[in-house]
Amino acid sequence: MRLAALSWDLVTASIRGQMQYRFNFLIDVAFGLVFSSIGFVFIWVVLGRFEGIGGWTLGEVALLYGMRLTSHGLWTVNFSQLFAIDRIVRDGQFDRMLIRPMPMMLQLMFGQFRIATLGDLLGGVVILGIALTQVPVDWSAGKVALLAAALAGGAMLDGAFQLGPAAMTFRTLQSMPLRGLFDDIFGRFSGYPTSIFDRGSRFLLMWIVPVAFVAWVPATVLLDRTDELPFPGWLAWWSPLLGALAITLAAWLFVRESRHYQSSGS
Amino acid sequence: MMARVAPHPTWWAMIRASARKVQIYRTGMAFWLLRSMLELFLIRVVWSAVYGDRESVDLIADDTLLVYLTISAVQVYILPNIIAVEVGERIETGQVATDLIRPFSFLKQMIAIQFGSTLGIAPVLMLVIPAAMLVGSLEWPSAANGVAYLVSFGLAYLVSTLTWLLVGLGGFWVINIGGLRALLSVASGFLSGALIPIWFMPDALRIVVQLLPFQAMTFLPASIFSGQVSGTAIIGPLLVQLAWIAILSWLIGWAWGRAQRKLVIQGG
Repeated sequence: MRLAALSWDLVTASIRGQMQYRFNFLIDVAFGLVFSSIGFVFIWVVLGRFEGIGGWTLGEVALLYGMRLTSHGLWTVNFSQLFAIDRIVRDGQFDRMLIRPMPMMLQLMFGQFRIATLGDLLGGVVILGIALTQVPVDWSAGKVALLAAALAGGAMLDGAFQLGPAAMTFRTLQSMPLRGLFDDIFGRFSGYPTSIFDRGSRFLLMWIVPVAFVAWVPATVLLDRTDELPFPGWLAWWSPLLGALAITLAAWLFVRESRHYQSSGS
Repeated sequence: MMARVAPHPTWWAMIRASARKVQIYRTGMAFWLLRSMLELFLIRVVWSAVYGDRESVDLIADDTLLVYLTISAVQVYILPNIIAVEVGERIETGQVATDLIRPFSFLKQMIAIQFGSTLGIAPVLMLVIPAAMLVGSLEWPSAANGVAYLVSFGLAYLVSTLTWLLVGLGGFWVINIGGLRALLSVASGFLSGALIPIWFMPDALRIVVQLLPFQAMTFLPASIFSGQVSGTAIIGPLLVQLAWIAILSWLIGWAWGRAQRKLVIQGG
């Protein structure tokens, strides 16, 4: 309870701080929105012109895009500070997280709140909402629960591939290039049906960097298209668990590696 | 401005310094190359899937489109916008005061920095072309189109330098242009026709795009490279690019005149 109150104070203080520069604040939110929706504008213009992609209609691809962007938003809203982890470690700001009376991971989550990240979440929810009115889903309690779990699972999976590489910052002082690479892979590849890729790439996207599980795998269940999957359809119901497993591993790695933190002398 | 026969030696000194500076970021560049390959690969997969079994859509053949999109993406990597970052940072940190004292025009200094940074990353940029042939779709144009493309690309480089210089000068009025620059650079992917060729855009969007300079950076040269424009019709895009260079130079001259007065008003 006390921790929740503390977290809330940190978040509101951070928002107040950013509100001081009003013009920049507005541009920041606008940037977040444009950045997150430009990918969708692309899909919209292209699929409006062509009928669909690999047998998926515009509405169905919008569902994938909405799911992936909402997941990404859920992650970045909570962990926006991770973006600056290289600087935090290099400048010795991590000292603060170690000495303040609050778990380090919670401080990492709530110590800073970047308004621009709301753009991802907002854009994702809007696209997802519109997409849901366009696709023929045979809703059941199970499917509603799956959608909710998939959004959380996608956020955790996306996040695991940020938090995991971030752990190396404590030794190498730099993880941005690797995190950027994973951010790119998740951002670019998770909004399309994985079935459009050739065998080799499909294998990579499912089992090496499993972006297919962010949206495509759970969406095949919602849309009754599980016959496209290379494994039995009932397994796809459990796909959100992959995210939970991945983030647990990543968090464990991050905490373990943080022991190698050496404050910068100043 | 005085017309000079030979470039001022300061140009070379500044270009060399800037080229050396960007070579510090080697790891970043390796990852950048990897990311560009992923993008080129995705372009090919997505558009092939969109085309499906059709050979052409709106008279645009499958192959032509893929070549167009690949060369567009490559150009986006090469075309400069560092100049906007440089100008913006100098204004924000106040370093601009030192730059202004130097006996070499501030605008020329910034352009020299841009040329230098392009030269500095040129070795990595050269790797993008074989990468594009490997994961993307790149086919060489006919000799005539090839020559015309090189001219058009040179003009595109100038349009890009001038556009981003103009954006950077905006910093004299709003101090922090980081957000605006980021916003524009994301939007420019769309406005330049690099993501979707202008042929496929809805009419309203096409008109907006044709009124902005971004298409002169990517769409025009890429449509020459991919052979969509050929013969005497090539003159058209080249003239549009020249017109943009004239318009942007004039705008920069005008903005620069006002910016200097603006700086005096701020004082110290």
